[in-house]
Parts: sequence; structure tokens; C-alpha cells
Amino acid sequence: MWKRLAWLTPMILALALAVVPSHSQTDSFELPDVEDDPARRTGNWGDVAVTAGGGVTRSWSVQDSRVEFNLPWDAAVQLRYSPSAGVVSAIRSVSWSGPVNSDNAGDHAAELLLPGPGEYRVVLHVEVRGDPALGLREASHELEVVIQALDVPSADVKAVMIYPGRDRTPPVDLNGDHMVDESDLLRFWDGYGQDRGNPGFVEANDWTGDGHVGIRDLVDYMDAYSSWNLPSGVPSYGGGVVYPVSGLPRASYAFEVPSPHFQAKTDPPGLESWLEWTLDGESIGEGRVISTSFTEPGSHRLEVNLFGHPQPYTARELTIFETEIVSHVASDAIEDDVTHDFVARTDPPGYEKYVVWYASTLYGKADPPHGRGPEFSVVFRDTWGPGMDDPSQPFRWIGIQADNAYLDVDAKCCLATAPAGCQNCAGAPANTLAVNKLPLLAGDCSPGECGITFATAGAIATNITACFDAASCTWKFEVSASRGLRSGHCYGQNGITDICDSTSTDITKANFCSLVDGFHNGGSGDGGGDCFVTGGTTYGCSSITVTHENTHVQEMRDALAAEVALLAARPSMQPLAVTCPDMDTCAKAVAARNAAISADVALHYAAANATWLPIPETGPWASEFPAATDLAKKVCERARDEAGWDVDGCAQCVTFGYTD
Amino acid sequence: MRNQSIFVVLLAISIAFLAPDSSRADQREIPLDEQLRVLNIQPDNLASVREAARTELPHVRILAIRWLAEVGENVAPYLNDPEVRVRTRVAGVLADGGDRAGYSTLLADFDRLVPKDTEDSEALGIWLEEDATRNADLADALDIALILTRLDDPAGLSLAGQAVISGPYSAQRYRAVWVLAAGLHPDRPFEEGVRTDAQEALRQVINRESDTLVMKRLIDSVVNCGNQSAAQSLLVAARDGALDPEIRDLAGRGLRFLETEGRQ
Repeated sequence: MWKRLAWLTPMILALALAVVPSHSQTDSFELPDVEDDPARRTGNWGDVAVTAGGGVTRSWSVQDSRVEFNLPWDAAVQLRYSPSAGVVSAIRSVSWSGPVNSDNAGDHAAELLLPGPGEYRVVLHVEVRGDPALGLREASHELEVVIQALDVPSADVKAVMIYPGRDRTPPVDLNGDHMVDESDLLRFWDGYGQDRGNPGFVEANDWTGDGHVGIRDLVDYMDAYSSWNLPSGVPSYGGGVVYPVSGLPRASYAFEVPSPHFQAKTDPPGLESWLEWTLDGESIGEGRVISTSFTEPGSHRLEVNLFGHPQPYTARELTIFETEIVSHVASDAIEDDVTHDFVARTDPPGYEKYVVWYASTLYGKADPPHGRGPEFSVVFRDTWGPGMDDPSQPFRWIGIQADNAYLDVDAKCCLATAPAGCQNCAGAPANTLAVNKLPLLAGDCSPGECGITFATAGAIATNITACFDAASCTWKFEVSASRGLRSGHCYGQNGITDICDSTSTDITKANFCSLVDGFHNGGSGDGGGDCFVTGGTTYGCSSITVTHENTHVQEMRDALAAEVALLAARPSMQPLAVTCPDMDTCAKAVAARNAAISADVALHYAAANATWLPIPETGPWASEFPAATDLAKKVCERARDEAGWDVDGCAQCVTFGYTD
Repeated sequence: MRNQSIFVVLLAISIAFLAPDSSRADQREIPLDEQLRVLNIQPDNLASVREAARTELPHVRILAIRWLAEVGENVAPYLNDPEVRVRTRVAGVLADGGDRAGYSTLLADFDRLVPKDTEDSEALGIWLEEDATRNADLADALDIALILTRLDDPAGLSLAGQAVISGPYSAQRYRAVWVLAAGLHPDRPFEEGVRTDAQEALRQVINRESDTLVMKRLIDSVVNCGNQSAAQSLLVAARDGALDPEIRDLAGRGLRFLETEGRQ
């Protein structure tokens, strides 16, 4: 694939150069010499920001001289000039001309006044003073803002979510054939440099939605393209194949971690650059196509706003799921000409049928190279070949990917001496066994539980790498592994009344004393504390419960930190010297060592799991009880101040020193 | 897990994993059958579980053997597992059920892993320095020592007393602490001097241990050791003399807990 991309490089450079003004263009501006011009000495004149309908604000550099955008003719639009730091102190005047209500009092802003549809021009004129002491001459600059006022009122413009939603393939697949390949790239180039209205303009290529397919679209598209279409010559996990990520239209949309692209359009078209995307209410970008990253599984709400207003029918419920390969551990030897069956699980469960698999190898082939679903069967053939740095040394590089999960089955080098430049050790290997804290899922809490923390049952994601230590002429191993730990409170799942504030309306004249006893008795260790049952209702304070559960998480991390140190002492982790009289010997040596390391990693996780401090709820570990007792005292304080509440009749409050 | 009624459920699903003599009501482990299903092993199909108990992956073998024990199958045949940590676990599962069938295996492994002639902690330290992998052997030997102690054999207590001083890894020292705490239990048919030595070794830990994790486990295992007078004595020492203020505070809470709840 690098070969295929190589021919693009001069094209990209040529395009990049094309958008940089040439010397002749610069001369034609008749600007002062660089050393005489404060604006050019600092590099720019500043920016113009345009806000339409109280929504997205778009900015242009004043250096552009001319900008153009579309708007509904009745949109409330504010233009604001922000001079650069080098210009601001030298400004003599700033003025707007054209159909604007200009306010030059100091903020350099103007309100656009459009009588109806059509093309309008607004000109920003900036003048700066000279400074003879510094040898600076006075100067001026103009920016022409061209507004295409569409014959449509703002209220009639609608946003339409295309992906996820109408389209079954993400926007990087420009021709919609479920493959990301050269044909998509060529389709992108077909429309490059074109403006909306020209015959060659391709709406799907205009990712920013500004009506021009230019360098910004190119950068965004190439970034997405390269993540799908990796070069040959290395394991191309991406493989170029695109699958629809969800078969659950209209209900929810599922994406594997980490970075889906989303796409929307406007009706009528031409206003996409004003689309504002939010995720869980937070802005994540503007334009027709955007991407955002996720690092953990969970549920989110994606929306598109236009001119500051949510759009009907554009909200999407997203489920981000994480995939684990549960059938194999890193050590499992992958032999040629044998069918290997892989199995994946997702967190949250139920998305296994969307798992996308890739199998790749530097030499030979993986058959099939990709698949979809909870299981994937593959045969590798002829995977050994000459070393990349030293062709006389055998070399193998294969891999399996299921969405975010990578299975380490690489055997990059397995010789007694490293090929030149091959993975020399940089310092001592550092092992990590990590715990990833995940939120609780529906069903994690049994009835009566107030909070829970537990290790997930899935496989441990283990990555083993080796580097060559020239001093000892051996391979040294490094391990990074992780597994999930789900933790949280069960208040929502179990209908527990959450009281963390003494002003809560759930505290009443009738029940306050029971609540005081409940919260405080935890402090003396009889099983109350942050969560307790009184009068047939379970009460508690969720934040105190979470504090307790977080202690469990930290204890697990501490236990693993102790175990990971001991891992380095295991025989499997000791430096390996192996000669390779033939491929079988080499492959078996590496496979055996990887198997032993993975087994040790799993056993150390098991040991840490078992040696996890029990933290008895009523023992000396229950450090959250003081917080519960403090809450009990605040309830007493409130009872004392409430008219008609009998604080004297509450023995524990009296013990605390609260009386009427 | 924040409700007492749940403790019963937890106790039912909790199986100690080389655990000290503490009540581990709060063990957070997914039920074994669920763990097996994740590994594509059907717990109802005992033939496939038995096959898994002989698979190449030792942690899978442990899960399968534990499940077989849970459903009442005799797991003593798995004492011939090639991996010492699996054998130890099998012996532990048997010991949990009052079965001493794993005792001779434990003794043999213990003798193989660590030398018999380390007279003191200094000698143990020298032995460890000669070969880094011996640190792993020591940790495995301490896991065995814990079960031996629970089987009323004090053979591992001396090693534990040396390891709390010379073990370079905290994962070794807290294993040693568990062994010593298990040796304090008054019901074990040990000579009184054995318990006194174990208590003295733990007192030395209190005076010199700076690792918080080791000390937290010491407090926990002492609180739950079943020996009220030894626990109080050690907790007072920790409350007054531990290096870390957090540990001193924890020891104070442990003392109050012992006094107010009378758990011993």
C-alpha cells in the first residue's frame, strides 16, 4: 500500500503549495516592506469570527483577503474582528462597510442586515499607525466577506443525520461499497479544489461543509483513510474493509472503541459548516463530518445543532463497546496450515455479532483476511520470510485483531543475535499489569446491594514484546496486560433512596432519627453506615458508597503492583538465548516462552485477585464511616433547626450534643 | 457489597485463594461457572471441565479443578499437575474441605523450592541474591507454607519469619505475614514457642516494614487471626510504633474493632 500512497505524496505537496500565495501574488497587494509593517512583522492581521443564530462561531484569518459562506437570509449574524497581538496596539481605525449595523466603539463587531436573498459583500477595513521611532510605516488592510444569502428562512433549514442513521457505511467510504480503497481516494481527488456550484464539486468530499473541497478536507480525509487503509509491508490490520457498525437502526447505534466518524447534512444543502455536534451535551466539533474518540465502553447521546438549536430527529443513542478475545491468550502458538478458531466477547455484552476481525501477516497469507461476528476462523500459510533488516535471518510477523483487541502472536525475531537495527533494548524492560475501572452494567447489582466492585470474567489482554540485549546476547521480555474491574454504586439499579445532603426532602420529621441511627451506626461498625434499611426502605449516600468501592479498586491496583514486581522473577521472564537451526525450533522456542509468560501473567492476576484485601464492611477498614457519621450529625443539626422536629427525642442526636 | 444480607450470598460464592485465616466475606469474584463459560467451558458438561483441568493453561486448570471440587468431584488426582502453583491450589481446595490428601505433595514441593539450611534471614537473603528466579520460588513456597500451617504443620513458619525480613518483594513479605498470622491461631496444636516466635516475627515487621500494602495485610490478618491477646498486643505495637501514620490509625481502628465487636 505504501507504493500506492507514494504517488500521492507529490500530489499532496503540489496541492499544499497551491494554497500558499506565490511571490507575485504577494507583490500585487502593494503592502509595505516586511520590516515597516507591524501586522506583517507579527505575521498576521488577526481573525474575523462569524456567529450565526447564536450557534457555531466560525473564524477566518484576515490575511485571507476574501472569505465566502452561505446563510439563510434572515439569520442573525454577528461579525467580530479580533486584531492580532502585534496589531492591536497600533490600530488607528477599524470599520465595516456594506449591509451591516456597525459598532466601532471598541469591540470591532457588526451585525449583518440582509434585506432578502442574494449575494452581499461586507468589507472590513483596518488601518494601523506608523511609528517613526521603530521605522514602521502606517498601513491598512481589507477583508472582503461575501455572503450568499439563500432564499430560505432559518426556521426551514433542517439538519439530517446521515451516519449513524441513513447510511450503513461511514463517511470515509466515499463510494459506499463497504471498502476503503484506492477508488475512494480517487473519488476524493476527483472533486478536489472544487467549490459548491461547480460541476465537479462532490458534497461527500466536503467534510468541513464550507462549500469548498480544500486542504482542510484533505487533512481530515487522509487521517480517516489511513486509519482504515494501512500500507502493505506491515500487518495491515485495517485491511480496508468497512462494515456497518450497527444493525440496530432507529434504536441505538453501536461502535467499537475508539474513533467513529459521524456525518450529517443540511436541507437545503450548503449550510453544513454551521452544523454543531454535541456528545452528552458537550460540543465535539463542527461541520459535515466529525470524529471523536472513546476510551471506555459506555452509552452516549449524539446530537446535531444548527444555529444554536437542537434539530428534530437527529439525536442518536450510541453504545460504545469494547471487545476482548477470550479464546486465546497471547502465548497461543499460531502455526501455519492449521485452522485457528478465535472467539470474542464484548463489554457490554450483546454486540458480538458486530465484531470485525482482521488477520494479517507480513509474508504469506491469512485466509480469510477478515471476518465479522463473535467467532473467526483463519488459516495462516507461508508466514516465514527473510528479515527486514537482514534477509539472511528468518522473520515472521502476524497478527489478529478484533476491533480494539489485538492478539500478540508476533514472532518478530527469534535468533541468538539480533539483525542490524532490530529492536535493541532501551533500558530495562518494564512490566505492567493494569486494572481498567469500568462502570457497572445493568444486572451487576443483586437485590439489596448498595455497591459492588468485581473483576470481570473476560480474558486478560496480554501483550508480550521482546527486545534484543546486545550486551548479554539475549532476548528480554516485557509484558503489558490489563483486565477490567467493574465498580460503582447500585442506588439506581436497586431503587435506593440517595441522601447525601442533610437538606434532602427525603428526610422528614418522622424518619430523621432513624436515618441518624442508620448513618451513625455504621461508624460503630454494626452494618449500617452509608447504606441501610429502615422502615422497609433502603437509604444511603451514593457518594460515600462510591468512596468505599473506590477503595476496593485501589486495593486491587496495589495488589497487582506488588504481583507485577514478582512477575519479573519468574523463569519465563528471564532473558532468552535461542539459536535457530530451522524454523520449527525457532517458532517453538518463542511460542513456548510466550505461553509460559502468559500463564504467569494469568496466575499473577489470579493471585492479586485472591490477595485483594477483603475490606470488611464493618471492620477497621471501613474508612468511609466517619463521613457517614458526619452526615448523621448534619441531619441532627437540621432537625434541631426545623420547627416541630423532636431532636430531644432522638437519643443519638442528644449524644452528639444536639438538643432543642 | 454494602448490605449484611448479601454477606451470606457472598460467602456462598467465595472460595478462598491461598487466603489467610480471615473471614473473607467480601471476596469479589465472579461465580466460577460464569468464569468457565467465558472460557467456552460449559460447567454442566463435566467431561469438558475435566478436559479443561488438563489443558495447557494453568489458570484455566485451576478454575476447572475448583469447579470440579465445588460439584463434589474428588480433585486429588490433579495433585500431579506439572505446575507447582496448580498443585498448591489443589491441595488448598482439598484442605478447605478438611482433606489432607495434598499434604505430602505440599511438603515435597516446599522442600524442593527452598533450602532447608537457611539458618536465618541473612542466609535466606544470600540464597536469593544468587539467582533472581529464587524470588519466585520463595513466593510459591510461602503459598505452600500457608496451607501447611492451616493443616497444622508449622514447617513453613521459620521460612516466613526469615522472608518478612529478607524478601525483597512486597508480594513475598505479605505472603509471609499471612503464614505467621495463621500460626498464631490458638487452636493449632503448636508448641507455645512456635506461636511466640511467630508473634515476635510480626512485631519485627511492625517495627521495620515501610510498605503500606504489607502493613495493611498485617493489620488485616492480625485482626482476623483468632488469637485475641496476640492480636491486641500486635495492634497496640502497630498503633504506637508503625512507620506510617495511616497504618498507625488503621491499627487503632483495628483495636477499637476488636474491643467493641469482640470478633475473636
